[in-house]
Amino acid sequence: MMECENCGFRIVEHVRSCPACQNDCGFPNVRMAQYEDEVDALKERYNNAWVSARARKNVGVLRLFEKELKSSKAVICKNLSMVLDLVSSDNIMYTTFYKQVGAQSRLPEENQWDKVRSSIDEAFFPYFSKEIVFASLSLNERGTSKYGEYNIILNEKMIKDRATVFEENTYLFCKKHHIALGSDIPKGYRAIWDEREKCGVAKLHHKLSNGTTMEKFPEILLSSVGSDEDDFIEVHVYGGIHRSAIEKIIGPKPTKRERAIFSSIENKLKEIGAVFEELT
Amino acid sequence: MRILVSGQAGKAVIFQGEGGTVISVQNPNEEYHCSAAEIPYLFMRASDTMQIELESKDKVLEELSLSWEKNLALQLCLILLDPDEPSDTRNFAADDISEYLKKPKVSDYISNILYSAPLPKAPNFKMLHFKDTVLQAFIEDLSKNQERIKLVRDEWEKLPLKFFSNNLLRKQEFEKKAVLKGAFRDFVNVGSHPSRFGSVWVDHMLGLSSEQNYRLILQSWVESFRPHPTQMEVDATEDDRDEEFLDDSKRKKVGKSYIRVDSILDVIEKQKGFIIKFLKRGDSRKAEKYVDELIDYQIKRGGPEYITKSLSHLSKLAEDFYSYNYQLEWSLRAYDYSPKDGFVHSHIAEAYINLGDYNAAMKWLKSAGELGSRDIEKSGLARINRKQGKLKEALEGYRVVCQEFPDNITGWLGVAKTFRDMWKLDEALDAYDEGINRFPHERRFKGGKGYLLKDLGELENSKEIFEENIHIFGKNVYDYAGVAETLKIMGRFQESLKYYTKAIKRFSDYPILHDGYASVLKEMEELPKALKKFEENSSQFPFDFVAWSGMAEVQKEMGNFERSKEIYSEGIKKFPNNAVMLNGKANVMKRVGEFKESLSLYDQSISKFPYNVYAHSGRADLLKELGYLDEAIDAYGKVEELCPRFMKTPHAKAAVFVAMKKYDKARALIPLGEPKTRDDWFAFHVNCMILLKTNRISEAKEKLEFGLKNNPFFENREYFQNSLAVINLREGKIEEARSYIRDDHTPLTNVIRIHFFGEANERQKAEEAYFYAKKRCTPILGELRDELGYHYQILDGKPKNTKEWIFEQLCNNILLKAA
Repeated sequence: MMECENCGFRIVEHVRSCPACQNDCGFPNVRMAQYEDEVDALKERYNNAWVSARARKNVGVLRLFEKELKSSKAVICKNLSMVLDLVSSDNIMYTTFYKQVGAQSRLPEENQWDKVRSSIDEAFFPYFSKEIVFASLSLNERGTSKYGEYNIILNEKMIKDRATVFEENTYLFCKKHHIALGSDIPKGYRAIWDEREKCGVAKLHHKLSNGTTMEKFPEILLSSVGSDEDDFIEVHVYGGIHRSAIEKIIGPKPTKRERAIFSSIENKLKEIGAVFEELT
Repeated sequence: MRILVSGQAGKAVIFQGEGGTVISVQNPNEEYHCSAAEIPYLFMRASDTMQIELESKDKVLEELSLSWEKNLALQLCLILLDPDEPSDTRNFAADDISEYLKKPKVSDYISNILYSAPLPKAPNFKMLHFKDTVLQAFIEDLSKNQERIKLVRDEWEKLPLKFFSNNLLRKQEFEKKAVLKGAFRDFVNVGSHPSRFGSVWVDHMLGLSSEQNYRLILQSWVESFRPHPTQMEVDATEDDRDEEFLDDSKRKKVGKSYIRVDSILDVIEKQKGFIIKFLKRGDSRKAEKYVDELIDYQIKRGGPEYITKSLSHLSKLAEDFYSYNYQLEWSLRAYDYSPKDGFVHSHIAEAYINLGDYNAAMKWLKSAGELGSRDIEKSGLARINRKQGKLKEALEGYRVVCQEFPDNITGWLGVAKTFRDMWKLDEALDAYDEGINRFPHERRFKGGKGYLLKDLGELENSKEIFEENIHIFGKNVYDYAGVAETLKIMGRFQESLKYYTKAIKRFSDYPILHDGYASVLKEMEELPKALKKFEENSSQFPFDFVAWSGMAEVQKEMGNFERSKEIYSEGIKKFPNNAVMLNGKANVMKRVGEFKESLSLYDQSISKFPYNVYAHSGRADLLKELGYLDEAIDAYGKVEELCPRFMKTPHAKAAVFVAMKKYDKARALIPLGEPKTRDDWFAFHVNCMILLKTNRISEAKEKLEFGLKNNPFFENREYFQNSLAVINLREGKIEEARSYIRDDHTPLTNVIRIHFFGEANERQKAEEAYFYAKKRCTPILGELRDELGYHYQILDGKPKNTKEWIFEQLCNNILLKAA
C-alpha cells in the first residue's frame, strides 16, 4: 500500500486520487507495476535472459529485439461492427439505443468461463477490473486477426501514462502459474508502458537465435501457438478507449453491405484526424 | 450444447470442456478451438452477448446469423436516423436495411429497441430517398409514436429502485428483458388500440414472470398510461393463467414407461462401454454422440439423478485415460442435471485441478462446500496447496479436515502425502501407519506406504506391502503397478516384466501398466521391443502422453536423435499443456550437442511451465555442461527453491563443486550409503570423481569398476565407462582403456576417442574422431578437443597445456556432462 505524496495518507490499490486530500495518485495498474518487488523481480528475469543470451552467443540479436520493442504499439482487433461501436462512443443516438441491447458491456454472468474469468480479473486489478481495456503489443501494427479483421492502433500519447504491459493473457498466466484465488500474483511479469521492452526480453529471449532476422520479430512478439490460442504480451489500459485514442485502423476493404457502416466510421475517424489504411 | 453468441462480435462459441469451438459469421465453415482465455477478446465490448442452449450446429449457425443480422440492421437504422451523419451515408443505410426488415425476427428486434426510448435528436429525412415503402412506413410510424414512446419511457424511469431490491443493475436487467420481449413497443402501440391492452398485458405478465417482483413492477409501470377498464376487451385473470402455465410445465414431467430395471441398466452399461471404447480410440465425435444418446435414454427411462451418476462415472473414467477435457466436459454436463449436488461440483473441481486451473477448481470447491460438502471443499483446498508446493498450508489444511471430519479418509491420506512431499519421511511413515490403524479396510494407506518405502530405497519392504495389499484387498491396478515398478527399480527386470504381464491380463485398459511394461523393456536395453510397445500403447490410448514420450526416449537411446526430436515436436503440438514434451526435446538436443537450441527450449519450457522442476533442472544441467559453473549453482538454487525434495539436485551441485575443486562442499552433498536408485548411482559416480581428482586413483578405479558392473541402469553406465577409459589412459594402459571406449558419436565420446587413438598411435582414427567432434562441442569441451588436436598433431600448432591439464579437463567434462 502506498502513501499519498501530498499528505501521507495510506492509499488502497484501486483508487486514483487520495481520499483525504484528493491528490492525483496515478493509475492503479501503473502504480502496481512500479512497486519495488515487482520491478526487482522483472529485473531478475531480464538479467537471466541476458545470461542465457550470452550462453547462446546471441546477445546482438537480443539487443536489436529490445530496441524494436521500445517502439511497439498497442493494437485491438475488432470486426467492423465493433469498430463502429468504438468510434461512436460519444454519439448520443448510438449510446441511447445500444444501452437497450445490453445493460452493460459484459458477458452473461452465469456462463462457466466468466465465473472464473471475473475472479482472475479481480485478482490482477483489485476493485478496478471494469476499468481495464485489453490490447496486444505489436511490432507491425497487427493484432490477432481471429478476434476481428480490423486492427485498431492506439495512439501512444493517449495511453502511455495509463497503460501497463503483462507477460501474456492473464487467464493463461493463472493457469500456467497455478494461481488460486487469494494467492499472490507472481512478481516480475508486468511493466509500465515505458519499460515494455524489459517484459518482452524476459519473456521471449529464448525464441531468438543468431539466425533470427528482424522480419521475424513481429511474429515472435505475437505468435500463434498450437491451435488453441495466440501468445502475445497483453496491454492493460486504464479507463475507456475514446475514439480520439485511435491513431489508425488497418483492415480489409468492406463488403457492399457494410458500406454504410464503413462510411460512418470513416467520417468519424476524419473528425479526430485518424486514418483508415486498407489492407492489401 | 451450450453456446455464447453475439451478433455484434459476429461470433458464436460452443462450450467444450475447458475451451470451446468458435464459429465466425464471416466464415461459418472455418471453425477453430479457443480457450477460456480468449473469451474477453472475442466478446469485448459486445453488449448483445448471450448464453443459450441449442441442440445442433445448424441451430447455432442459424442463431449466429440471426444475431448478426439483428445487430447490422440496428446499426444501419441508427445511421439512418442520425441527422449528424452525411446524407450519402444515410442513403446507403436506407438502401441496405430493407433486406433485413423483411425478416420478421429482425424487424421485431429493431422495433423493440427503437420503441424503447425517444430519439435523442429529431431525424431529418429531407435529403433521403426511400426506395422501400415498408421502410418508409416503419420510419413514419416511429416518428409518429415519439410522444407515446417518451411517456412509456418516463414512466419506466420513475419506477423506484426499491422495487428492484435497491439494485440498479437489477433494474437494468429487467429493463433489458422488457425491451427485448417487446413490452415497451407493445405498450406504445396499444395507445392507438386500447382494446388490445388486455392481451398485451397478459403476454408480458407471463413473459416476465420469472423476474422478482414482476407484478408490482408491471402494475406500477403501466398505471398512468393503461386504458380505462371499460375500453379493454379482456380483463385478464393472470393468476389463473399463471397456474395453468405451471400445470402445463409440470405435465411434461409425468408419463414414465414401465420397462424392467435390469434391462435399462444393461442398455446404459452398454452405452457407457461404447463411449469408453471411442474415447480410448480418440474418436471424440462418436464418444460425444453416444453420450448424447445415453442422456436421451436416461431422460426417458430414469431421471436427472441417474444421468448425473452416469456422467460422473464417465468423467472418472475419462480421468483414468488422462482425458481431462472430457472429464471436465462430462462433469459439467452432470452439473446441468444436478446443479445442487455438491459431489458434482467437487468432480468439476477435480477436473480443473487435473487441468492445472486451480483458480477455477477453488470456485467449484467453494460451491461444493456451500452445498454441504464441507469436507470435500477443505480437503480439495489443501490438495491445491499441496500441488502448488505450499506444503505447510496444505498440511495445516489436511489437519483441519482430520480434526473436523475424523472419518474423512482424504484428510488423513493428505497429511501422509504432504509429509512425503516435504521429505519428512519419518513423519510420513507415522501418518501412513496411523491411517492404516484408523482405516484398516482402506488400501490406499498401505499403498502409499509402499510407494514411500520405494522412494526410501526400502525396496524389499515396499514390494512386500504391495503384495500384502493385493492379498488383503484383492486385485488393484495400482498395487500391481507398485510391485512391478519396485522390481524394475531393483534391477530385477525379468520379474518386473512378468508382473506387468500378469497385471495387464487383469486390467487391460490401464495405460499405467502398458507403459510400465514398455519402460522395463527400455531398461533392459530391449529397445526395438520397447519402441514397439510404446507405439502400440500410444495408438491404443491416444491421450497417453507417457507412451508418446516413451517412444521418443527409446528412439533417443537407439541413437535415432532426429526421429526422437520429431516425435517430441509432434508431442509438443499434441500435448501442449504437458512439459514432458518440451523438456524431452531439450534433452535430446542437449545430448546431440545442439546446446543453443536446447537452452532455448528449456527457457521456453520455464516460461510456459514456470513451476516445472524438470525444466529448471534441465536448464541448470545445461549451464553446468556448458561450463557456466556459478550460473549453474544459481540455477540449481532455483530448483531447490521450487522443490527441496528433488533428489538429483544436491548430487548435480556436488558435481559442479568437484569441477570447481570445492571438494568439501561436494562431499557434504553426497549420501554415503549403498547405491540403489538411479540418483544413488549418480552420486556414487560423483564420489568416484572426487577420489580421482584428489589422486586416490586406485580407490577410484575400484569403485568405478564396481559401479560399471553393478549399476543396473544402462544409461548411467556411460559415465562409469568414460571415467575408466580416462584413468587407464592416464596410467598408460592402452589395451585396458580400449575395452572402455564407446562407439557412439556423442561429442564427449569422440573427444575421449581422440585421446585414446592418439595415445594408441592410431592416427587415422584419431583424426576421424576429431572430425566428428568438430561439431557440437560445448566451449570447454571444444577447448579440450583442440588441445588434443595439437598434442596428436591433428592440428597445426603447439600444445598449450600439459597432459595433467588434459586429464583434469576430461574428468571435469565427464562430471559436468553426467546428469
